[in-house]
Amino acid sequence: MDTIIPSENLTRFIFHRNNYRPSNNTVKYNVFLPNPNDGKTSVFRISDLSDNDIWNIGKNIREKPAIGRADIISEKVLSKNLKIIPSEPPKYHADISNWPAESSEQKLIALELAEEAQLFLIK
Amino acid sequence: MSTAITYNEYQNTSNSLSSGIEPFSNQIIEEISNLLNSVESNQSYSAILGKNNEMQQELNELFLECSENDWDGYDANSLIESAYFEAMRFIQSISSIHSFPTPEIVPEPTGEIGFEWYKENRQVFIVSVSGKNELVYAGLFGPNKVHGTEYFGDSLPSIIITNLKRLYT
Repeated sequence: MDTIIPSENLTRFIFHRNNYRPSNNTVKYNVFLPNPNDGKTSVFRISDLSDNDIWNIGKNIREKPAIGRADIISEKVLSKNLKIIPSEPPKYHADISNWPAESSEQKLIALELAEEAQLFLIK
Repeated sequence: MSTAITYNEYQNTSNSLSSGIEPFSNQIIEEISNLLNSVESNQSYSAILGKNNEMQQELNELFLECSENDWDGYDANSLIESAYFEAMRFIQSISSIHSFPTPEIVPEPTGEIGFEWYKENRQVFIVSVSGKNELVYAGLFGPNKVHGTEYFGDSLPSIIITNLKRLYT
């Protein structure tokens, strides 16, 4: 599996209204918090994909379609001492792992990632 | 024959004559003052109650909405019932401090419940409850960062207030 480079773009699909602030179109920290069962944050690598291709993934990866997405550059993730591990299938999928064990530290990193992410809502 | 009166007595008599109303006694002034203080105090109390109710309602809606696993599409845990009761306790503690804006309530994938004060980019503070008598907090204040865990007993830990003041003063 190829290595993810710092300039690569990632996206985290959003399925719940409480993952973003409609008032100023920004992402909330809970978007990036790792899953409690496997300790990973599921993302997709989108550098080589068109906008349509990206939304098509968001429509089909879960029972209900994504309502938005939070795009972030890999460099911002790697700078927090996290790892991005390609994890296919599905195609283009990767996991953000190596989260610290301490809950408050996880939340701090999630806050920082949310600040760096850009929100896109489905039209 | 004339009687000497003081200037104040003259003023009081003069006011009474010109308006046809007896001047306010100290007792009445005190009573009005108490009444005004009471109204002001009730308004503050109403504001606290309003803020409290608003947050309680938001918490209830969120708890129902996230009462099943996978509410976020990523296999998140449902919100924890003990976290819900602790969140109610946190709301009561925080709503009495009416100098801070109302936080947004945020469900977390672990089933914990977060409270978020977002002011602007890199000016944000969050506190989470999990039903373990603990407050887990994290914040960004420009280039500065904080995070930690505090015991949540009968009162709000002072570090939470300190960080909120840091955000809003």
